[in-house]
Amino acid sequence: MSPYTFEFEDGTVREWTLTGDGAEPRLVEDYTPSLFVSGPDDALVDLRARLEDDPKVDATDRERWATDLHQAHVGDRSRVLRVDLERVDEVRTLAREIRGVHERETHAPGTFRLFDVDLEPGVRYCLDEGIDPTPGRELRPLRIELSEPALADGDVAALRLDGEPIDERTGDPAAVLRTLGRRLVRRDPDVLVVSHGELIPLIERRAAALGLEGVRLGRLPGWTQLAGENTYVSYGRAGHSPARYRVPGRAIVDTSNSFLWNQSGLDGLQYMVERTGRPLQEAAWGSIGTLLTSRQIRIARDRSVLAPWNKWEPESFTDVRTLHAADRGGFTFAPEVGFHETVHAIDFASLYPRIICEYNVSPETIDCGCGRPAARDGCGGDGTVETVGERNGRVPGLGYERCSHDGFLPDVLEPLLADREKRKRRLAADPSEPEAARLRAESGAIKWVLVSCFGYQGYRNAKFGRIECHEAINAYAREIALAAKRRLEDAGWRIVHGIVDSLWVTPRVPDPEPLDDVTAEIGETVGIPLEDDGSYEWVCFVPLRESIAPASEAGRAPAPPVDSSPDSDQTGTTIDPATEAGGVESGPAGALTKYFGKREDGGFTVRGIELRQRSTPPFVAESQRAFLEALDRERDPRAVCDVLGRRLRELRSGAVDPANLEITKRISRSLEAYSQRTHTVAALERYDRRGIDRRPGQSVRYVVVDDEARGSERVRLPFEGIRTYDEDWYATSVIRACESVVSPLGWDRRRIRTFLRDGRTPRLSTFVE
Amino acid sequence: MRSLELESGLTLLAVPTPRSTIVHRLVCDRLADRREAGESGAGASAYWIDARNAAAPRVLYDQVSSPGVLSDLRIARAFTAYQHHSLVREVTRRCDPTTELLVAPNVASLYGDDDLPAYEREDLLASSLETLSELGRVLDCPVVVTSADDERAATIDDYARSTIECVRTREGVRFETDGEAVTTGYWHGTYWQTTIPYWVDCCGTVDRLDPVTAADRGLLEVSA
Repeated sequence: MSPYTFEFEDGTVREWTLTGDGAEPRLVEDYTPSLFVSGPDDALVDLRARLEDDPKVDATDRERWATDLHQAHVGDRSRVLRVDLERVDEVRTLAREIRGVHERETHAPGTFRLFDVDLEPGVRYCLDEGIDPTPGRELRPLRIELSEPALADGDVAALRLDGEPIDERTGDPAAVLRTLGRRLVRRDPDVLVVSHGELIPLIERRAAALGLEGVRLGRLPGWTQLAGENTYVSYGRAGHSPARYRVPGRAIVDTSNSFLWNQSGLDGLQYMVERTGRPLQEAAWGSIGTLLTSRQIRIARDRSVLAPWNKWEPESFTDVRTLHAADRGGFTFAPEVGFHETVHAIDFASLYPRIICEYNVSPETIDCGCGRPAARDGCGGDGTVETVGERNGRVPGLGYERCSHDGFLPDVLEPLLADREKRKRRLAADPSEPEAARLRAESGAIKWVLVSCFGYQGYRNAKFGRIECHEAINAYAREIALAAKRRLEDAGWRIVHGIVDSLWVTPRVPDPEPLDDVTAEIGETVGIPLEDDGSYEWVCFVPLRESIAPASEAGRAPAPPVDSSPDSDQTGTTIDPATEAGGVESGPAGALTKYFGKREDGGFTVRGIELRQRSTPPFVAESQRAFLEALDRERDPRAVCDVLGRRLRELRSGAVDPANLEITKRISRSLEAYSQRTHTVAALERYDRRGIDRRPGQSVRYVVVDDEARGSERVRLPFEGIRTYDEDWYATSVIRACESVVSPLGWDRRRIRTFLRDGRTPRLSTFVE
Repeated sequence: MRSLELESGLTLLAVPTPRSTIVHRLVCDRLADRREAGESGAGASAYWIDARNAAAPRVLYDQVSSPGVLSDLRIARAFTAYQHHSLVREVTRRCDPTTELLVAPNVASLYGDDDLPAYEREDLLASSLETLSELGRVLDCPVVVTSADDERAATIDDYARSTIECVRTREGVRFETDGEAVTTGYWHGTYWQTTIPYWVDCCGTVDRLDPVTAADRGLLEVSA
């Protein structure tokens, strides 16, 4: 078995290998990590001489490596300087010195480019030593949890193990920690799944203070802080990463800082360890971008390509026409707002990754000029996908030439696509529940990486991203959507909505061609399967909130679905990033991602409305579900409003459990940085008062108790013993949730209120919920 | 007949916001003039080093009577300061004596981003500006850069032969050089109220560096 977790200390590596009943350490003393520098030859000679006296440097050498994908693609190499270091934790320091001291003193800025600098030690070690850190046997996890208030108070007596309190009766910290210690010895877990990373220093320090020498979290004594906490901005959103810790011989999964754990659990994590080469603990805290980058670095290394530290490679100069063609977003068909019956959803499974693989789109295959033949297996540059015979290897609309030779991105993604396919097939064969759970977890983990790979190509700091590649993928996606639209319409179908890879179609003639035949043909033509994503008895597309008709009058019949000619060019529109949504000229504009429908196999599909929003309190979400059920039963907005009336009465009687009114909000900045007196600010003040730390990127939970009150009195936190709530405020929330459901039928808030005021005898259906 | 005489060398256009389209107008007019004079068509003659997505194709198309006017313009966008600096270096390789114009909107903006360590910011920006300014001198062509940030404008000013201020007033944007108002018209919303003779005025009043100082590289290096 190969080792699965690693510690770096004083220039040595301790690797832990799982054994039948535990894990064994091995000390490696001679590991010397390397960074690489490229630049003009004389500058490198000079730098090499300057580094010779640096005590951090073990050795230097000149080697031939590709400094980008293009170089590897055309079979070229650069003669770079390899710098070996004594200690892995000094790589970044030396990198900064090379740029900030050595370059600065003797050369123009930007003379040196650095490579293999920002790799986490464990990832770097496995990469350098050719280690696959995938655990070789089933892992034994132990879950250790503490609630946030208890964590803030440092109350270790409230610790829970595997979901059970350790000791509810005595509340004696020493007893609790002793029990924890015994459990650790007896179970000998390989992975500690902790609710907060801060538990590590808390437990260790408390055990030390109480003189409990035998109580320790690691397989050996000691613990280390790896990184401090940190607030960052990514894609315009604030995020927070808590401090990270390590204990000897055990991998730590901090569930408050693990996207993968929360999405896919231990199974998904283990799968990603194998595919990214990140050891378990590093995989656990990695974002999807980090995981994808790790896999890319690994595959790049196989091709002798170094991982750049900073993003120096710019896009190529191009003319305005090409820039204009490339600067468009994904193709979208404006939704027809309204209630549609007999709708089929079809989608191109994993559209973007499949475009990358099918059309060999990769940073180094676009306009590479390597002299190899252009790719001919794809859709053509003449604006149509159907004309297969005329494919000429140019990216449609952009004219970039696309090489046929062995692309890097396809290499990154193809195994993931294949793995996902395999898991989906096995799931379809009805496996046992534990097996099915594992397959779902793995498939989910893969899905997240696949959906991110396209956007990541356009991310400004993506190590192997290239904007032209991002544009090319988009260009193919548009071409494919248009080809599908034409074929579907010829076959007697009408597109009622479409977003990039998903289409909703309904028959436009009494006897259209069978959908399966049409989608199979389209899939065959474009090289990407177009799959059935479910049939719906009915689907509603929700209007944009600001375009919900304010002039709708009471008593008017529900508006019929907006009728638009299937041949109209307006059904297809490209999203303009500046205007957000493409609109239908008559009738309200549809929100692109807000819809709900009743599937033919039973159950609802809901997107974008309150039910799906994380912040929506359970009571409001349950109410909206009841509205959907009423709409499905009666197909009449009045029936929905009857249910709303009953829900409002329940709310007004004070009978709703405050726990069902909790709101969860992600915070985007620190308390001091908020200028408006929002509920979030009020909640933050209350957390602050109790000494509970809330950072941007984390969430707050609260119940609105008096919206009219001042400051922090407007809300209460879940653990503050809430007895009342603000009825009016929640009533408005419930009415809004109802509006989302009836707005496709032409009803707005005013009409709902008028209907409720009428005080008619409720119909029988009101009581069927 | 529009005639716009941009001086050769680095000109800083101190714009009110990073989204300002003043520079687009300036570039498009220049290209249109060349086309009228029958000078275009010999391949790329103008390079635009973009930052913060200033080079919106739609805005450029809006400024020209026919798309052909833009055929000699080549654009590349930078998303990091490193890319920006690389593009500046790339332009030195691409430029030749036929190059008519270099443009770099928001020229200093990316150098203030978090993904650049503090020790690198000033040096890298200085190096980019020095290169652009030198290109203007060697090629004897105008190099127009913009900045919406006063602090950075001060840095850029060290490398510029001339600076045009765009001052926001109640009436719109007023142009100034050296504190002297030169505006004969104002921006109103998205359109430009004055006529092109304004630019002639404007550029005619730009103060010049002492030619001896400009020619003496050694002196400039010391003062920089």
